[in-house]
Amino acid sequence: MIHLTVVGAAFVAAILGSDLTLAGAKVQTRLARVLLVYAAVGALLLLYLRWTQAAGTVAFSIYWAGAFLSWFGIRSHIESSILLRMLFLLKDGALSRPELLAAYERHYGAAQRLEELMRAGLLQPGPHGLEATRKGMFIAKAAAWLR
Amino acid sequence: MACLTPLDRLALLSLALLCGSFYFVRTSLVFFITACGVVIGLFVFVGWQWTDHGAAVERLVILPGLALSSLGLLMVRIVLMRSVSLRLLFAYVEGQADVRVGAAIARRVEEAEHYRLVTRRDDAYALTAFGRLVARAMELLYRTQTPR
Repeated sequence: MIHLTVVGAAFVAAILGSDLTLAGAKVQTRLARVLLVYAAVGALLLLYLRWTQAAGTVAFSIYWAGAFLSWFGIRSHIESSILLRMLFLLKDGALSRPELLAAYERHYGAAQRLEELMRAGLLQPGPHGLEATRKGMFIAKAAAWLR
Repeated sequence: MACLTPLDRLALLSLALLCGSFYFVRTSLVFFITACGVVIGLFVFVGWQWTDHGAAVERLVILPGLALSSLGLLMVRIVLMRSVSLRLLFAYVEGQADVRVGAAIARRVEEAEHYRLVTRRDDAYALTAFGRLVARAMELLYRTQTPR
């Protein structure tokens, strides 16, 4: 039981550490730092599991990959979900459709999204307006392949 | 590979099947969730029946690992299918000059109604009890995640 508690606590520690590292920024803009946090906490957990002989490297790797993937997926979804943001905007009272869409556009419309893509290094200003960076091209190709 | 236990091999095979399902079962979220359920079910069945019974902690570490991987892959699939930012990025990669995402954003209002998160009274949308619960949870999460 103690081993499972440690395994769970390590996940919680990695979540808290990642949130502190992000300091409110979007996941995509500071993914490398988050990966470092997961690597550091994961290394400690692996040491513990090997030292106590509770579980091997394969079991640890599968657990830790799942821990990171689930955190990344949920966090990304919460950050970018339009539906959830709209519910949040409706919490202070009913809004008509144009009001709701205008409120959403003000807080998280196309302009903010483009700004965010630039901050993440996926788009950059070019001679004819915005254009995709090499990183942006790579992400778009990977996403298109997985879609 | 020689130092891998049968449980290790089973776990790696299960993870590979989950990743394969993510790629190949992409047309429907329901099919993907079903595939994940089948893979995890098989891991539990085979892992508890035929592998080393002394490796209880290993099994209890691998099982949530597979479940968390499924959840993560599901979230990534949802983002890949629905992300408006990704659509914007695709448009710029393809060199489209005029990028419109308004319709995709507006569609979410109908979705909120479909999932009974909001109700429409006259011309206004208001949260249902379920919607209020979700909105409160989001308020809490946004408070810690507000971009600075």
